[in-house]
Amino acid sequence: MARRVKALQNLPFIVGVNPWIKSVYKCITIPLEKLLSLPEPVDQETQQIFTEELRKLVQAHQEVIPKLAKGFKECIKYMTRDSATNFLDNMIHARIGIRVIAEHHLSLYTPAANYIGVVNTRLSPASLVTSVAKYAQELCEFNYGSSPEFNIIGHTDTLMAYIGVHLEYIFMELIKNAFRATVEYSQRTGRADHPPVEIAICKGPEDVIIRIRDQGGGISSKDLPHIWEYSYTTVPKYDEGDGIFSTQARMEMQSGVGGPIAGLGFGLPMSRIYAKYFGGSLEIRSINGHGCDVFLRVPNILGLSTHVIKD
Amino acid sequence: MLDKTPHAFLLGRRCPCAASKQNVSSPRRRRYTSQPNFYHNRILEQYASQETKRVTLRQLTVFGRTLTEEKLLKSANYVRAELPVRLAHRIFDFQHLPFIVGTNPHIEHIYKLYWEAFETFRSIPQITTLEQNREFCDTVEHMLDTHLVAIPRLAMGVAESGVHLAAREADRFMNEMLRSRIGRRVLAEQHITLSAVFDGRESQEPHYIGIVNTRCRAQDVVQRCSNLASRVFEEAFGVTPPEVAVDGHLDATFTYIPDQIEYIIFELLKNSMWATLEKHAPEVLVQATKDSGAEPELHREDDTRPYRTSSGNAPRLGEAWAANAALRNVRGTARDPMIPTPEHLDMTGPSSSYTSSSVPSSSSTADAVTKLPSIRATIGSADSLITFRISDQGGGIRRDALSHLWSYSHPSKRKFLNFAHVPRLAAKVEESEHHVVPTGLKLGLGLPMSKVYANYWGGDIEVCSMDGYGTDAYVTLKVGNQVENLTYTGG
Repeated sequence: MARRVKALQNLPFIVGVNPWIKSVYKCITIPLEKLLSLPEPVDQETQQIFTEELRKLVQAHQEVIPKLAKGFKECIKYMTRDSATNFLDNMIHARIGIRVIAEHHLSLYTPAANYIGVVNTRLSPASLVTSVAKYAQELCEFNYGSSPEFNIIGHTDTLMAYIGVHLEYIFMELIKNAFRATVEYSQRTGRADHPPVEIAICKGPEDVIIRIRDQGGGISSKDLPHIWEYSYTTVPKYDEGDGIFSTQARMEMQSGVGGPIAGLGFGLPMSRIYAKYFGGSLEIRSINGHGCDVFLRVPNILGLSTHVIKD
Repeated sequence: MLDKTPHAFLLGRRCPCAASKQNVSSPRRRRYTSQPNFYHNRILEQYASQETKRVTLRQLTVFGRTLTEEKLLKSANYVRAELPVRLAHRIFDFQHLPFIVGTNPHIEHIYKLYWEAFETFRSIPQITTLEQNREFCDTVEHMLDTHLVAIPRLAMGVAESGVHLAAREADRFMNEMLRSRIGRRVLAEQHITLSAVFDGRESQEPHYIGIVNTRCRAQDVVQRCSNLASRVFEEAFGVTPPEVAVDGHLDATFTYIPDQIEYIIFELLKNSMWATLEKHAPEVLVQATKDSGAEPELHREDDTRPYRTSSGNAPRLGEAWAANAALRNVRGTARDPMIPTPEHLDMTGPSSSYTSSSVPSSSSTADAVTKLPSIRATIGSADSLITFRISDQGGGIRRDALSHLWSYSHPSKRKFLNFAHVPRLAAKVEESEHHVVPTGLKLGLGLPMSKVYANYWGGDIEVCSMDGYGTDAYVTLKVGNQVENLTYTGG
């Protein structure tokens, strides 16, 4: 965490003055000082206090990413895209780490079946995908009046060990993107039926690969180089509403479990950081004018270590 | 010439080019067969210092649309002036290989071939009449034919030079060679075809200008390639091949050289079909290999023995090749490798890099085969890009194999030594059609060559694998006014 504070301190001064960024800075420094001031947890009692502080810290951090996102959106003219992307990559990566450690510690106190801390040891990607996709369908219905079907193929009986919320977050982002692209492409081209989104699950020798294949027209070569940049979004700006499905409706569609962060262009890069956290990967191949294939590769995390954070 | 070198015994045994050597008797070529002289290099350097004049696809078509005698002669002189420059660049490349590699008989042979071609073209005077043009076309055509040995011999040369040539260097060298070769052949074939049409010796197919098709239909390309791949598959295994379903922008049309895109799509479909068979009906594959009594001499993916042992200390000049020849003598007994029958060849080619982890339980062959999962070919078209995606359920590619998919120098490319069975190769689809490449013989060139073809007009090819499930290959072609891409940038 101290490293994150340092990274924030090294930002251009003007960026640090931005109220959003400033509150993030405070949000990190204050609990850090508190944690540091606590004695090493040696017995039951100090352990209790430590856990309590940790819980507060985790709660305070709920707001960090949306704040960062807004802050950087406002500051984009003061920084190059690359340095902003780098900063956010490291920031978020570290944040995931902090949260994983903290939450893991916390959840060790509330044991559940098949869980070791926050790690679900018998996670079924297929059923997780199904529940996420159903939820995304509802969102989609709500916003567009219709939604595409989805099929899950491949090794649907795969079980793996992973942090469920990470996977859920990634699935949500990817499936929402796929549905949104499919429906919007149908509207644009006057297509009567939405072609289904195909989700293939593959259990390889070392990892699990999930391919999400849509027919939502693909990503234009203009947008393709930018998809991993933070704050890059294909959602029009707030004041560019068009017709019935105005920006507001799209924003709704963009939200969901992601909370207010979506539509700010954080979905894809965030998902990739989550995927990379335990050494996985997230790749996109676009078939122009047809659709996209998104390849998510996540390792079975038992017995793996996290990636070292680079500063 | 070659026969007098110390490696003659090696050539005599393995040389696939006995046939082509008999062609070497035309008087025009004999003039230049002497060993290129060291002090002669000045002339080469003059040419090599000139920039190539790259053409665009649009130039090829616009130029050839309405032909006049004047234009044809202009084209002839462009080709006449351009070929020696491009050849000089490649000869220059040869000269910068490590000396030991240059002494490899295959590399040496092609080096000399290139020198002869260079000398031939640079001594042709300005072409001013149609008669001279006809003569020029004959020369070029003859040269194209003689140079069919280039790919096989370069591939074998590079495969044999494993110890002496860093992988990066080898890949760069091969890539430049193949890319430049495509470029020269495009220029040459375009001019020859245009000349033939102008003379009325050949009629131009509709929508074609020379060798360029201005209305290449993506769907037709896939259809033709899948028909051919299916036929080759059936001949090899006697079972129904996986179905190829085509979807997406079926009516997409674009201007392209059909030979090039067909080669790529055919290779991908063939790989997909073989992998699908291996994953879902491995017993058919095993049977086919057993029936044919698989040859231990053929080079397979895992066959790295001779090379691994000698790495480290470089042997003295000459010894290396002799040692390799000796090794081969041990391995290959008194059999004539010149006339391979398809049954005698390695059937496990690209699929040996594919995993076959989950083998379907004891289903009968016929049952399993009727259920081979289909291959999906999807066509996308937008923003001056044409995309082909070939998606199979053939079990994917191992992650460690992904890294050398495009390599010419990885130990797995010992398969290149199978080129001993394919002395002449133009790398065109019709060669599979007419069995120039014996059915089922794996050369290991398909993917890297496809990449060179795709890159040539600025496109690309990528492979994504779901290890244990299937593979997706993406071919992207840029359409519009694309310039030839002659320099290798990949790492």
